[in-house]
Amino acid sequence: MEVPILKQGAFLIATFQAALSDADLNQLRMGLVQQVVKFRSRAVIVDVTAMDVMDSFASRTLREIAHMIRLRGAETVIVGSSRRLRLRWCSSD
Amino acid sequence: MSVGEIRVEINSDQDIVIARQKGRVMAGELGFSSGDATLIATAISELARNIVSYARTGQIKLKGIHGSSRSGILVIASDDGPGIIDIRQALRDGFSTSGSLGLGLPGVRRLMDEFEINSQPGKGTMVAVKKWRQ
Repeated sequence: MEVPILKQGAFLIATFQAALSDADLNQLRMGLVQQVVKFRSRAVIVDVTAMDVMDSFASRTLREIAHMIRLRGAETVIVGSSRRLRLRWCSSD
Repeated sequence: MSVGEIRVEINSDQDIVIARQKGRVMAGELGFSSGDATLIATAISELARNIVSYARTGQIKLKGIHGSSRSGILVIASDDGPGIIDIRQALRDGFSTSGSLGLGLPGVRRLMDEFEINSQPGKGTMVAVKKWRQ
């Protein structure tokens, strides 16, 4: 399932739906980077509220997205994570 | 309430999603809290992904289990893949042979209550994990 990327002025918004496959996540990473470059976006907002499971692959992909987007001059903001998830992110690597 | 056994064949990344969704549903039927069901689904996701990454095909088995005074869920991930050469190394945080960050197995062990692994080079891998309802 493709993740829709919405453009709001200088910002891009990607809303994770439940049950994203690895292929969907990889596609999203490429799509976000392309669009950040195309629109010279200032920031990307990734809403993970509805994601069913945040496993190590998803966490890693989010980190890569943020890194690649920063290399192209924009920031990434992740919204909708639970406190438990944020603790897990901060405590691993 | 009796919950049977579910087997999910793992052949693609889509199957990772199917296996964890079925795991979440079963966990709910077994009476786990939504938080614990999420942890179980996460562990299943990691195990299924290991199958896809290293063995390409395998199987996840999900089963309701009973102890002397408690009930829980058993997840068995098995494959006929290359096997793990050094299990102790694979269980160490930060170790990976596939260029990832290698958080799969140690993460699974932290998410679940019991963890068992059998693997030999050339003979495949089997990981069995349990979580008990509190």
